[in-house]
Amino acid sequence: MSPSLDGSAERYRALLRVQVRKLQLSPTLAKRFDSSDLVQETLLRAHQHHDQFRGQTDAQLLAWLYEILRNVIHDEMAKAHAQKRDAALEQSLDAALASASDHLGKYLAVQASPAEWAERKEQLLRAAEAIDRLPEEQRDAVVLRDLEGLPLAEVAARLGRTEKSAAGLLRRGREALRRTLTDEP
Amino acid sequence: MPVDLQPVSPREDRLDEALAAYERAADAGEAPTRDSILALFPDLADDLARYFAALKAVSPRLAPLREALRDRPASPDLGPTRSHLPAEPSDPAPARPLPTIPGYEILGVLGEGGMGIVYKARQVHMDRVVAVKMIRFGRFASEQARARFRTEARAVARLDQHPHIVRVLDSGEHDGSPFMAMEYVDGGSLKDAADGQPWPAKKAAALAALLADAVEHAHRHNILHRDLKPANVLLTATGVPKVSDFGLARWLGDGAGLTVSGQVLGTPAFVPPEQADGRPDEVGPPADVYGLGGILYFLLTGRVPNRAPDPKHPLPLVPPRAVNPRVPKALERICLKALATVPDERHASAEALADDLRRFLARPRHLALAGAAAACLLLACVVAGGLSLMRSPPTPVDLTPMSLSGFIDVRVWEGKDVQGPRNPHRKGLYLHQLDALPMKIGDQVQVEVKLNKPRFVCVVWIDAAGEAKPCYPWRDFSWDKRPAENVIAELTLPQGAIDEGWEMAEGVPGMETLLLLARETPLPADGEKELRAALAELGPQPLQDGRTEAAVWFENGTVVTAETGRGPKSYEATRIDDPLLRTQALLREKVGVLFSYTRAVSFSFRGK
Repeated sequence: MSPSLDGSAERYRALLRVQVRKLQLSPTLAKRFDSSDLVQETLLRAHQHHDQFRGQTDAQLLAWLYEILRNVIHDEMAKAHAQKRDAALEQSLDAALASASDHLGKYLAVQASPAEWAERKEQLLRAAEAIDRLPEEQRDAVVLRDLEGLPLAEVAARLGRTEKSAAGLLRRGREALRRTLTDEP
Repeated sequence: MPVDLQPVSPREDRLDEALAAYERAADAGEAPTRDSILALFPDLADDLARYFAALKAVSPRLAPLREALRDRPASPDLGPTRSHLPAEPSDPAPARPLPTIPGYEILGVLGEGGMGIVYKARQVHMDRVVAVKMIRFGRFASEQARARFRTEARAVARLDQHPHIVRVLDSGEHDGSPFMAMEYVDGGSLKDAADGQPWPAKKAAALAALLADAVEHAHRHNILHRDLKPANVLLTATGVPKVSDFGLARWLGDGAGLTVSGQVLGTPAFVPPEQADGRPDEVGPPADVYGLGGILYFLLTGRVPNRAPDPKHPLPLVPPRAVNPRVPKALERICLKALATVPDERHASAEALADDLRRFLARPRHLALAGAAAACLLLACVVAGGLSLMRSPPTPVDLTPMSLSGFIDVRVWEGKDVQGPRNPHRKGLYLHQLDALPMKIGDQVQVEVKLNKPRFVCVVWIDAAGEAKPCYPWRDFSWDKRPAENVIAELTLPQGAIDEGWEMAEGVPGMETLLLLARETPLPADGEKELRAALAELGPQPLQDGRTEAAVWFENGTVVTAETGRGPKSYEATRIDDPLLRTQALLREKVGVLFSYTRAVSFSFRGK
């Protein structure tokens, strides 16, 4: 992999981690693949097989990383559930990743001036990094509420908390995000 | 990663309680203001202010990430194969160059979704505009994605020439990237046409029957659609529906079918349980019947048939009538049957569903007539749509699904002693609900209007003496000082009133009429003169001898009444001298020649 490509792939680490967490929190997929090393493994494979990447743009790079991530998840599930593979689950995962990759590709490809585009990508990656660094439960609350847009009741149900306690996680998560994402104290 | 075990102080506990209330209110669509929360928790003013400031700072910074990771289209504008993105590549430096395909001139992006991108293009040798669908990332796409794309092209090509299926005109591969050229359909999708705006039952049933025909056609060619939903039904400019997006199509009885679905998670509401569970062997024609049932549900309620949160363990479906009480019971039964959890309990085929819907459409409407009561009141509501006022010929009665339509009804609040609809003991019924009649002196009536396309609306009250008074948008019941009409989609009369209605007056002889006109254009400056002249000729009308109460429905411009067991009749057809019918016929003659109404109800009542 060229040094620049290597660096670009690495920049997407937090984004991929947030993406994986988002999938892990979905009710159909929850708890079925919970290794936190998925993204690490993905970037490692990208590094090892960099000669297979034929694209040039961010969108193509991401599509490629998602493809690798999908393979990593498949392998992981094959290992974890060797006795009882769940074809339907794997298909849903495939579908979810394909759809996510699709959408992200579209988002990245939307027409904008180069300056606008660079700015937007910067914001996106900063936000992903900030969320990725939150304590787990706050991160999950923020992912479900602010990224998935779920109602509070649903957020609470998925986290196994009361609504009040979910609101508390959300509050602390958002306050921490403000400290990271803005210059204000 | 540290585990979140932060202790919570009593003050924080109370703060979280306040925030939970705030978030819940937001979830309920109440757009809570900070002031309203502060009013409930005044002691937390400082903390709340700080928190809301944080929220305000963080929210826009998360927006790009939220948009980027959203696995559904961000807005209806980005729905599959729908087109409101710029049609011309006017940006001098587009981030993504448009593809080139020999024989086509790509004009712009129409929409993106599922696995592909749809471009607007000109097919050069035919000199026609087409929609060209390509797979995302072209040659970078996985082999699986390409195989799926080719399946779609082959599937739709086999269905050529069905009037309600988007046609494939050409397909091929360029530079390693498969493409297909399709008929260009430019009227938007059904999703946009009914989102949050229920359709009248008959119009919904008629459209669903056409879609069922198309699906039956596909099934007879051994093709399952597997992703039927409103966004995948396109409408032409004249409202002809066309099934599109066979991106998940599968050959019936073909074990090697592609079973990966890009939509299972995206639109679970329209996916039957057997498909959501990933049991491909059990996914057959009933799966598409389920999708059709979902579309019908959406048309009838303006909502998706959501059994969320978990498609694998669906909750019982909210019946359409619980969302929209105007849905006829018979149609609700058809809809729920198509949406049965167990495939065997659904209609056996799309054809069976189409037949069922057409039986519903053919049957007369029944409305019970009951007796009581001295004063005679007629409330007539006419939804009217004219092309250009007064001068134009009447809009022909149009039975196609996209004819101009609206929905109006009368709500009757029972009893004057029980004030205000917020009083839990007060009972409000819509007139179409059978037990809304008989009404009593002192009952209040409200007229509610919903038009599925916003229209110019004006309302005229004709009192027992036959005098016509304007009551909307005129405020003071005076024909002078007439304000400009507004385009509205919903109206409650008396104007804006939630707590009041018109009271059923006692001992006033004659008949009162409320006339509501919903039009594509506002009344012209002198329009009301002609209107008043037409209305003045109506005069007071008594009820038929021996009758104390009656109701009349309009269906597609025809005055129809239905008495239990006697079926529908129109004044024109029977010439039965029922004054109520006669009045409606007169209205139609005097006003209906100028306007065409699609659906309305009127009723008459004799007080004690």
